[in-house]
Amino acid sequence: MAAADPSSDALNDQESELYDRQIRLWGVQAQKRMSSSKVLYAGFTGVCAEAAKNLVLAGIHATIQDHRAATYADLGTNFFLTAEDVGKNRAASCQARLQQLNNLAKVDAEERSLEELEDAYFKQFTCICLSGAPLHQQKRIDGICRSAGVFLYVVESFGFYGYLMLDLGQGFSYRKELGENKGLSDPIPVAFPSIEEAVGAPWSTLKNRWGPVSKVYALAQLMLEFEEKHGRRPGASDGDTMTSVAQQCLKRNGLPTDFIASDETAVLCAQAQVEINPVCAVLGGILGQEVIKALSQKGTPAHNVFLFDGTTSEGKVMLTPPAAK
Amino acid sequence: MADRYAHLRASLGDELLAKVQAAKLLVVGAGGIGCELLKNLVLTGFLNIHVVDLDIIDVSNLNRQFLFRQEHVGMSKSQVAAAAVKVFNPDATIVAHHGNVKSPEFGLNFVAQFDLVLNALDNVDARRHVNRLCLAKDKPLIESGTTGYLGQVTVIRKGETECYECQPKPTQKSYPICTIRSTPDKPVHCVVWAKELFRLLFGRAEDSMLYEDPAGDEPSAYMATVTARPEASADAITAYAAAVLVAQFETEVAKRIGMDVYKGAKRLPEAVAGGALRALAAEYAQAPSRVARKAGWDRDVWGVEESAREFSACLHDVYSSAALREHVGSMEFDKDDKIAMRFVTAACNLRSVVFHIPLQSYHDAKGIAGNIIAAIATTNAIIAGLQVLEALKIMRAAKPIREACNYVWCLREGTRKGLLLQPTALEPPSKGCFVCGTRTVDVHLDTAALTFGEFVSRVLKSRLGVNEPSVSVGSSLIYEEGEDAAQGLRANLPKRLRDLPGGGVTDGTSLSVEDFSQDLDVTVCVYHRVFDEEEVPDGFVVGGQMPVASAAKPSAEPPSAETGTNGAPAAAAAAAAAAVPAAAAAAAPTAQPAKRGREDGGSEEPPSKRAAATVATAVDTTGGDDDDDVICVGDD
Ligand SMILES: [Zn+2]
Repeated sequence: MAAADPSSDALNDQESELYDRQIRLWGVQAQKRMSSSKVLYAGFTGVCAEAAKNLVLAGIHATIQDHRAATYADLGTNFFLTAEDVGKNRAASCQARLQQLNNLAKVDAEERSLEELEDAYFKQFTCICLSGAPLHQQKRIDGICRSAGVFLYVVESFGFYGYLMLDLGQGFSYRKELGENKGLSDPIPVAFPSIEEAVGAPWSTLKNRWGPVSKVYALAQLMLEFEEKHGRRPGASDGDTMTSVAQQCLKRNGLPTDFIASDETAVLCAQAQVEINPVCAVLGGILGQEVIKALSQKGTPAHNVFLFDGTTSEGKVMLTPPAAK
Repeated sequence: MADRYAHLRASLGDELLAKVQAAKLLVVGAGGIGCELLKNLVLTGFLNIHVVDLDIIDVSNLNRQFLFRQEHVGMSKSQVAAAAVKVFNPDATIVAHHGNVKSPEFGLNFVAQFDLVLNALDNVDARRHVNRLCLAKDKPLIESGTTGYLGQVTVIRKGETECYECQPKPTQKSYPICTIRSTPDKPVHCVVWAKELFRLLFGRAEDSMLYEDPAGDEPSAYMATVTARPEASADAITAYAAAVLVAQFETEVAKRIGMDVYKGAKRLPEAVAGGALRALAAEYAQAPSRVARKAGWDRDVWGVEESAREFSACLHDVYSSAALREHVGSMEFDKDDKIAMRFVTAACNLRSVVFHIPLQSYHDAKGIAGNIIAAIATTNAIIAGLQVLEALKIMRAAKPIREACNYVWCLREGTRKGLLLQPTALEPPSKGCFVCGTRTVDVHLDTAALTFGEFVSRVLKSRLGVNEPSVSVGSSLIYEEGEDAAQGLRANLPKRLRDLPGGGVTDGTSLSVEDFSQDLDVTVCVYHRVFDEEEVPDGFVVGGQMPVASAAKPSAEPPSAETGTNGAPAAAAAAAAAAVPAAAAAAAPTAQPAKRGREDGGSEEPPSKRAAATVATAVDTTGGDDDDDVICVGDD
């Protein structure tokens, strides 16, 4: 049998056999890079569980971070949890079952909260998938990622909606696939705005020739704004409070106050803390795909927001702030 | 309420959740898409699911079929998957069926018990069959497929939407015998040739394309050489290996050059020097072969020397092993058998050297020989998630299915609007569809050459997907299959079509074809036509379904008026196949492995439904890899 040699450019027989079907897609070099990368799943929500499943299968090392205890609600989306885990730490409970998916990828658990983790902790990772974190934590971790060259993916699945914001830094570049036997393009640079810059862009500037700012984007931002004001995500009984948050937000962003109707904010309140599996599966799949693109530096990355509407199955990329004319 | 359905109650509402929990579902396929789909369904509250799959678990499934582990290799996919998802929701009842969905036990009566059918299949044949069962029993069907980064989901409902067969599917690519035997110009031709040589040496020799009847007019000298059986001594095997190498790569090549086969060719083939081949045959190394001793060996490209040594080594591996020797004459090529694949790689590369064709690594030759289609977890996860969203729309039943549901594409590069997931409207049924529309199909063939048996197996079964045909001309039954079938009618099988009873099948004859297992009843109109073997290697053309390869080059005489309308999408499919490498790869059973996705998405406005459909169907395959992942149509 061929011996494993970490310094070699080749894969050993076990990797070759296990990863055969994906190497035929992205090649040995990309697989090597992926097998030496490590992703932090900060906040092990249903959507992160889906993404982690996809990427551990692909051979990427994982650390799952969560300080929260598993609840019955988690059992509906996080398939690594069972009823016996309810009340126990989410990350610790999932570690062994995620590890079973692939013994070539190392899976660790981290039970400390984001607040407890020092800045230096985050710099050991190649990518961070951040889920269920308040906006100020998103901005803090983004600052660390940008200085350390770590790719950041903020991901939220709420009800039938999905939201993914990427920050691959200012110096990112990728190669486009030019077709069978035609190889790859020269590197194409693409600079990502910070999370702070991205969410700071007035919504009125985000309309394009195909329509006004995406409603899914606006709803996600409303949810995060509510959380910044009230210290928690909205719930079913927060309808009135949310209506006033929405009014202020729309005014500040230069949009008519009827852009989001009160029944839409009511639905948002009812579903802000609810994940459903099919949306987690789709969004976790797209997130996995984006991490693979970034690690392999092949294929156009979502620059810089991906939005999914599970009521229509439309999944779309938008840029915020918009490109200067 | 603290239970596992609280989130679904909040999101779906009590009414829809109750419908979901009460629904009885059939999932066909427990592979790449199937594993994801079963997980999604039980987590979304579907509690009553049957799953059918005939496959067993292979190690190459484990990179994405996440319900399976190393210790499950060799076990039934449906059974292992059912047990695994039961853990995700202990309230669910999952009934596993290890079997072929085309077998009678999963027929019309079986399908009748379900509210909804979800396909997670990897081949056109099974998809067609399930399509017909669902049409017959009026069950909504959620169809899916992936290949590499690309995928799609669609919903089929009798009378409301297009059925799976409303758009013609590209057919399995065949290569003209003379291209394989004399004038190869692509790596795939050499791989096909090498597989035929494998059959000639180790399998049923008379079934090989390279076989020549030793009692025929001018049998090639190589027939006597290759059919010899060496003794088990190393020297005897070496001598045999040397003789086969020289016969195939020197003598036979020189002979064909001498016969002026290549007159007018841009570049003549070049025989390999026999002396060198003999010396290399003696330098073989038995398993583990010399090339398999370092990491990454399967990416190396063997030149003449390594190939000739490996060729000889494979013969030594077979003939020095009592167990393997015993199977010479009955071996079947299997891409996962290392000796077979080393042999094919070596023979392919020696052949490629002769014809100045680029050489292949073991890994790439395996991709071509096994028609392996790239497959990853992410695309399957996305597609299975989208299938469940369509299932929820059907369960909600707020609108007719054609209005409520969508055809959804998963793309590699976004459209100009930035869409990575693109929903489009479902099309109404196609009037000309021989399955759900007119129930009529035209077939053009040589009635004087084709036997009825070939017609039944190649046209009715392979191309038209008929499972158990009963065939009548006028009022007389000439053939039937299935339980209680009249065996006496089998006497018609060896007859030429025009020699069949009742005046024979000639130009303009209508055949009535029925299949009770699919509740299918089709009129097949036969038109006499003689085709050029180069252009139409299959020897027949169905309706407008021109073979993809020749569709771009229209034949002189359009076979019928209907071909005009259906011919257009076929030509578009050929163009699309050329433009979309993954699609082209998957369309041909022995084509290059799909290495990348859609290359043109970034510059394209959302592909029109029609154009998109041809892209998708071009990726469709009729007989792909053993395991999975073909679009429109996809990951087992
Ligand atoms: Zn149809």
